This record gives sequence, C-alpha cells and structure tokens, in this order.
Amino acid sequence: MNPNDYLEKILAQQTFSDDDPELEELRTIRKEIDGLLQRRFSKSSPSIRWGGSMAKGTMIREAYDGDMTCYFPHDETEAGNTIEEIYENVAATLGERYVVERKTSAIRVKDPSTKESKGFAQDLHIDVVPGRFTGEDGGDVFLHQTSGGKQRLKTNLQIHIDHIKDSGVRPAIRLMKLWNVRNGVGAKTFVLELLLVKLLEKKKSALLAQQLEYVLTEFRDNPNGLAVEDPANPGGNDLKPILDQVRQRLSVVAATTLSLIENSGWESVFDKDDEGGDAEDRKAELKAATVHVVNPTKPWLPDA
Amino acid sequence: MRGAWHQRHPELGGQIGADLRARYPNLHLLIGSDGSATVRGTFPVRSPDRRVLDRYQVSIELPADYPRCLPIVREVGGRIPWKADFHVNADGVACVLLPDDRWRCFPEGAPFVQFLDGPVHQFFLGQSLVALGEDWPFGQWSHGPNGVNEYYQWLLETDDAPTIARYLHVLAKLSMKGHWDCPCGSGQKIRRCCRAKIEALRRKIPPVVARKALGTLGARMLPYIRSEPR
Repeated sequence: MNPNDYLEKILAQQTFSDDDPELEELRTIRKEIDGLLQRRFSKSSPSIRWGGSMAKGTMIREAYDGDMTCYFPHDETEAGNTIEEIYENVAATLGERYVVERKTSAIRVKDPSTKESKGFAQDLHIDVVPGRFTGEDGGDVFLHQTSGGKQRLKTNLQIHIDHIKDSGVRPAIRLMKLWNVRNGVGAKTFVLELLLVKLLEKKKSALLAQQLEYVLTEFRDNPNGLAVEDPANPGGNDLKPILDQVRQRLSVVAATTLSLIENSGWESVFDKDDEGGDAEDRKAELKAATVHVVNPTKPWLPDA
Repeated sequence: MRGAWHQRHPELGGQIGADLRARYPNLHLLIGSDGSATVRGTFPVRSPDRRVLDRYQVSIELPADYPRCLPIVREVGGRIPWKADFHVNADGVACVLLPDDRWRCFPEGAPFVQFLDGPVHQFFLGQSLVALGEDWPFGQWSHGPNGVNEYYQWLLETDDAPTIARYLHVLAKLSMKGHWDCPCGSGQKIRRCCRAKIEALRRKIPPVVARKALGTLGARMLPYIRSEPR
C-alpha cells in the first residue's frame, strides 16, 4: 500500500459514522446540557451550539471532545454582570447535574455516577465554553480565563471554524491530531490546528504524506521558530506561552517519527490495527496472547 | 545522591530512547525542565504476531533514583478505574507487579524495555481481558500485606508464618553467618543446612526488600522474630 492510501485508510478508521453510538451519546448529553442551561437562563436565551472539532470537521475517534458554546447576549445580565460571574454561574448550573472541572476558558463535564464504580467521574468528552457577545451582531465574544496572563479573552467562534474549514488541510490536521495523541505530545488541539494551517499554507496541493513530512520536519528542525496567532484576534491573544510548553516535545517526537518513516515507512508510525471482529473475537485474540507469555507476573496493590 | 539518574548516567537515557524507537515507537522519553523523566505516549497490547489488539495512553515516571526504584506507571486515558479491583491506587498509580518479585521479571540493571515487554504488557493485556468480563489471566496477588504474605509463601514454599519470618529476618541482614540457626526450622546451623538456598534467595531479595517486607507484614511477623539471628 502506498503511503497516501495507508494514511487515507487510517483517516477512515478515525472517522465516526453519523449513527455511531459514541456520537449519539455526545448528542444526547449535549441535549441534556442545552436543556439545563436554557431552563436556568431562560430570560437571556444563550446561544448554545457546537464549536471545536465537531463544528470544524476535524474530529478523530481516538480522542474526541465536543465543545459547546454558551454565549449570552451583550446586554443580558441574568447569568452575571461580568464574564467571570457568567463563567461561575454556568459552572454552578452544570455542577447541579455533573462533576465539573474548571479549565482555562471551558468547563468540562464529567459523569458523577461513575465515582463509585470507577473511583473517578468519567469524562463525558464535552466542554462548555461560557461567554458574552461583545455586540449585537453575534460574532465576537469575550471569554473568561481562569489562568494565563489575561482574565478576559476576545475571540470569534465562526472565524475559528471558517479558518479551519476553509483551510483545505483538514485531513492533515486530523492525522496530526492522532499523532499528537498517540505519542503523548500534549499539544493543545487548537494551537496544533493553527500551526498546521500556517505551515501548510503553500502546500495545500501536496500529497498527504508530503504535507505531514513537511510539518514534522519543521517541528524537528525549527521548534523555536514555530509561531501562531489567533485568527479571531491576531494582536490580542498571545499564544506563545502555550506553544512554549510543547516546543521541545514536538521536536523530539517529530525527530523519532521522521526516522521511523525513513526506516520503516508510515505503517510504523500509526501501526497496524487489529480491525477485526466483535467482543468474542477480541477476547479470543487476547487470550491467545496470554498463552505466549513465558514469565507471567501478577498485579498487586500496596493498600488493602 | 547527586542529580537525577539521566544526569548521572546519560548513556542510560540514550539506551532507553533507542530501545523505545526500535520497539515502542509511540512511546517517548521526555526530560522535563524540572529534571523529571517520563515516558509518555501509547502502549500497545500486541498479539504474538505483533498486531495491535488494544491501546492505552500511559505516563511512566522514571524516578530520580531509577533504576534502583521501579518506574511508576499511570494509565492517563481514563479507561481503567482507579479502584483496588483493577490494581490502580486512588491516585491513579497502577501496581503492575509486586516489587519483591522484580528479580524474576525486571531485575535492577535490566533494560527498561524488559519492564515494558513483561509486567507492563501483561498488566494491560490483563486489563483488556478484565474489561471483557474475564479473570486476570495470570492471577493476582491479594492487596496489601496479604499479597506480600502470599508471595513469600510461594517463594519459600511454605505457609508457616514463623518460617517465613525467620527467612525474611536472615535476608534482611547485610551479611549472613553460617553459625546462625537455619531459618527452615531444622535446628541445624545454616552452614550445615540451607546455605545454598539462602544464598540464592539473597541474590533475589536484597536486604532492603526483605526489611520492607517485614515492615509490611508487621504485626503478624513480630512474634516470630528475634532481635538477632542465632
């Protein structure tokens, strides 16, 4: 299989079908959250819609999150006078039904019912991003930031969505998201997306494998030269500190990946998955693997 | 101790990096600005013909005193419950093996990939089966001191608590004297009884591990231990 066919196959494996159970569950939770927030803030009718990879078309099966906006009209104060109050009131409302984790601008919701069975609240793969429109046109919004330099961030969801949707490089973005997750790089998804769009601006017509190799080469050879800006607020939002956290990792992992491609081809990067079968087949395969273990070890736990 | 292991032995870090590239291309040794060393990425559960049957996102910390101390394994993808039944502590640390048993599968000085190939692979293989409703494929030690007790019962081939206590007490000493009473309980001196067996055991269970086992077993061993072997 040539590299592009292989990469296309990996992309297909990472694509949700429209009736996929995981996607259905995401939609169900979104509906629940939508209802919860609309009931609580019924006077101000917040704008609740999908953002993130769901809206941009860059979702991958291996690490998917649904980002939901909860933007309030600029002249509404039901949810709070300041955007910090809005953030806290949305978090408190979500906290009535879910376990919430406060992230920089988003609120992650988790399932409280798994605390007993799992020892932690299971991630529901949904982030809610509260904000307030800056004007009547429903474009720019202010978001509250719990960490980082500024407490208030100005952005525009539609510009972000269009920036990625119109980039012409979404397949490369999805594969690099998979690379990011598989290799534990830990780059923030939206920063990675912006990097890809910028780096591939003049490589849109290149084959997928060539695009990825070009990006990886830039990561490896020029980590300190990598720079991105927020298309919705180019001068206002400094993304450098976020990028600084992963420059070294991007470079180290890209070097390993390029060396793998050179020596063994793309299949050594994303590997051959076992594509087959139902749970019984999987069980049989796993059991067969245990037979070949020559020096078995048993797990233990220090605390009874 | 001066500095972390990768500063004292940079060649060790190089070896780990090279072995990972060759065997586990989605795992990477990353040295943080604070000097911490962590292997991050995706761990594959493989079939005998090397197909990937399952994947786990992991973070494996190599502590400052590695390789004396065992690596600390965490599954970070949220798949495995942080529950005792799954051999994961409340802080998310997975207990892939009983440390006393490391001589058998990952002795000090063995390459790091031996840890991945052995205990880590078997742990995640077991997790995949348990998630499908199966039992742990290779069994499991009981939690806490009971598991340590079971281990020494198996290793010493006895379930007699006084005998286990005497063996551990001898193993906990920095050196062994032939004129001590043999811990097997025969009434003979070590030199005339189980000397070879004890010397072999001392190569597997260093004094520090035996002392820790005695500490873990605690009260149940105290009645059988003299202050000094005789």
